[in-house]
Amino acid sequence: MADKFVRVRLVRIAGMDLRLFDFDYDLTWYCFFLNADETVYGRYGGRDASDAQARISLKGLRHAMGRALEAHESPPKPEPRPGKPVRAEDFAAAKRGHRGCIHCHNVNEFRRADRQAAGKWDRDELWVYPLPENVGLTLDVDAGDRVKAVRTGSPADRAGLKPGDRLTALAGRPVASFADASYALHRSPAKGTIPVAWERGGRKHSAALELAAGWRKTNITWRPSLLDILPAVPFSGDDLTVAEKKQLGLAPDRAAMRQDKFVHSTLRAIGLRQGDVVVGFDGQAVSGAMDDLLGHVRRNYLVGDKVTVNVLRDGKPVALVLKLK
Amino acid sequence: MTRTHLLAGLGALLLAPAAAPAQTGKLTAKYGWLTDYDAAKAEARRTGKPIFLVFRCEP
Repeated sequence: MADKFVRVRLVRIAGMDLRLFDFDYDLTWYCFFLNADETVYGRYGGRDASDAQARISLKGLRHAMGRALEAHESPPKPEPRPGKPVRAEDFAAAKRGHRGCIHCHNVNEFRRADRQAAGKWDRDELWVYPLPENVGLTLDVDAGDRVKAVRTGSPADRAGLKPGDRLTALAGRPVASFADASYALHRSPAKGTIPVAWERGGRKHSAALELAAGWRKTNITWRPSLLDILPAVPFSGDDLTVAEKKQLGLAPDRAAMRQDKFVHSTLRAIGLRQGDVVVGFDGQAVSGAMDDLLGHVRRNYLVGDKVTVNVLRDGKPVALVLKLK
Repeated sequence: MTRTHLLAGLGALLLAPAAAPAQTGKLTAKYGWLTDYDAAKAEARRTGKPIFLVFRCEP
């Protein structure tokens, strides 16, 4: 199948027009299917926080390639690209002090730095490339337009999608892969509705998919472009046992950890002590284990934010205020 | 192929991603992969084939 394509492999993002090659720059591998007129037929690649390979497979790649060949039979016109080409090396942040090769994830860093410098950056911009699961859809890794599961009560469920359906378009963009779906969602609004189209048993269906406020939120802690703004959470210790939780009046599934003797200097400075039991942040309990509790901070706060650490000391609640670094 | 070996498989498909750039370039050409986007567009126009373009960040 590869011989049906002109194949090109690029190891540098510099010089490329980012209006055309607009993709998830935090990835180290991503591909486009397009024609000589720069009509993009589809994309392949992507990941989630669980694993770099959770969303890709060779079967899935072949599937997306097949869909691209189908699209090439009668290609639509290329999308208009108003304005001048946008290149990674043209960002002010790139010119200011970047040394060496520009990596793909640097594009996100440059863009954020320029927008922050202009006072235009908003923290909601963190929520890039939402997962299909954010609207209730799980797609088949080996056939990225096949609906594998639909979460009950989700926007996809309310729109009428069912497992086994073939998703054909999302927000007006054709879908043949996880990358296509994720890109379509990335370009969708923070709130409102987007069109969704699918096929079932040879019949075409369409509906509106509702996007409620906050729908874009995803676990972004794996993204290299965010390393400088995601906070460190230097707590160390062990999970409480179910018996220990019961003794403190905590639910068995509630995450709670006992700080060990290695109290980090930033935590010692706010008054945390060995033996303190951390039970939440800003009054919010978290289900699961210690990793879930600390991950909650990484997923919901940024460097510079203040957070109240909810602690039980000798069984009594204590609130400690931590400025995240 | 197990999921564990998937990226290795994609690497094999896309030719020695861990190799040094010069070596990678030779392998890329040997297996029919171009390394220049404009050349790929010209070849696509000449042959009528679509383009399969891979971005592979090499640290």
